[in-house]
Amino acid sequence: MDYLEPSDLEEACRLAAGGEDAVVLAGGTAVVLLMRQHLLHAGRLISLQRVVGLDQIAETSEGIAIGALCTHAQIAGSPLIQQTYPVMSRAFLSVASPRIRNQATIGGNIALGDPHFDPPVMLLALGASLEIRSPGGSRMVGLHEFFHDYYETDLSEGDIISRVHVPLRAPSSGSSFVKYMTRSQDDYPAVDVAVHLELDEAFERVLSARIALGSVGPTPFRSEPAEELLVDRGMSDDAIQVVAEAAASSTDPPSDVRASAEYRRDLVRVVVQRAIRSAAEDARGRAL
Amino acid sequence: MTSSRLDSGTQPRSDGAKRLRLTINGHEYDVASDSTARLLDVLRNDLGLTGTKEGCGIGVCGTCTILVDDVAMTACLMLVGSARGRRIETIEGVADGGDLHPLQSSFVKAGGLQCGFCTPGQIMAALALLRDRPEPTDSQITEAMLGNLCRCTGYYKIRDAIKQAAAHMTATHPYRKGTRSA
Repeated sequence: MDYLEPSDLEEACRLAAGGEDAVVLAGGTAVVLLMRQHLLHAGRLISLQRVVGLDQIAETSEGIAIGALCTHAQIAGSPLIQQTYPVMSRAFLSVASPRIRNQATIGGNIALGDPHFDPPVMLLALGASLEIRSPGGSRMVGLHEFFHDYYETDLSEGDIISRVHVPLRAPSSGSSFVKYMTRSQDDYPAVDVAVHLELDEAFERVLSARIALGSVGPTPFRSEPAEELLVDRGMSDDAIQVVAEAAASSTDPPSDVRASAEYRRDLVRVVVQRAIRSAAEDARGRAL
Repeated sequence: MTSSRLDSGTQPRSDGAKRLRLTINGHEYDVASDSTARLLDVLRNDLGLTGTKEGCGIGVCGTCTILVDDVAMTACLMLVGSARGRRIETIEGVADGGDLHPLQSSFVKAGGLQCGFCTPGQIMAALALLRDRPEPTDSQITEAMLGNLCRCTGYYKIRDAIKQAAAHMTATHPYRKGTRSA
């Protein structure tokens, strides 16, 4: 197996385009594990470790740009993210264990396309998009269009995620992230729910909503039927219940050791309601 | 192993069959290893540093915890290529010759171990914590030690050991207070 360490991204993309068995390596936690389990065969590993400039978190005119090599720990600990989206900081802090958070990167997490992972759910709710480099070019892809199927994403040979863009936080907006675990604290969730709401100045009317779900289907996704209902109907208890029902019906959950499909759907019904209320509180709290 | 070796600069380097230089516990080691070997295997099999244990091998149990540039990481999920140019610390570098590190003494005193298999990983995780937070609260200890599994002690004695070590270390080296805290 070849181990290549390009020092710039263009070169990395060119190498990654060089055959089906080329695998891009960032923090390594997922790639090494999958290779050990014989689920991934790599003829050449392209390590991004020497690529400069992908480990920064920066404020831009459009929001926050997070380099793909930023670790989960770095993102959770970033003062910029803690101030702008404290909920996002907590979501990254909920991933696995401190050791894994010190190693695993945001780019690697998203690129794997694992439906159990937490960051994609949070980032879907925040309306994030990805900057993807390929040999000789780059493109932006909304995260909601990125996940195609179980471990299948928009990435093709030679594509490398370079940055994750999180939009500016609108006034009177708030977010929530709920990771519902049925086993230990460092396990995957049975259900993940993240919500981002933009409210009017009186915090009564919902101007826009994003409701993202994880671990309840082949990909993390946004429940658009639920989002539309929330914008139309508002935030009475009855309305929220209808929204949560719609979210639950939009899932196609698996049954596994963490929860049965039926239980997962029930959980979505309950957790979505909590997450909506919590996002509204986050919006109000920010205004004070 | 074959490698299409190219030179440095903006060219990619391939170190398939090259000797690797690693910095471990302050010493430089030249290792004849493929970059794609696991760091854990190189530590244990090539360098004889068997204090770092393999428990689950899938990044869950914490027995292979080491420090990389002062930060706790998982040696079973790290390729040795990724360790090059970074400062690696293992349990073998913790004691000062024959003198145990305060963390090691306090694990003994507080009964923070029984079978001892997880202990090197526990000590390394605790060491990373105390460098970052010399006087951690109980919940900071719990958070930092999450994912370092112990099937003997029930964890309370491990927490006690870390608190005792923290108290001892801040009392004997008060200048360390507040250093490197986030």
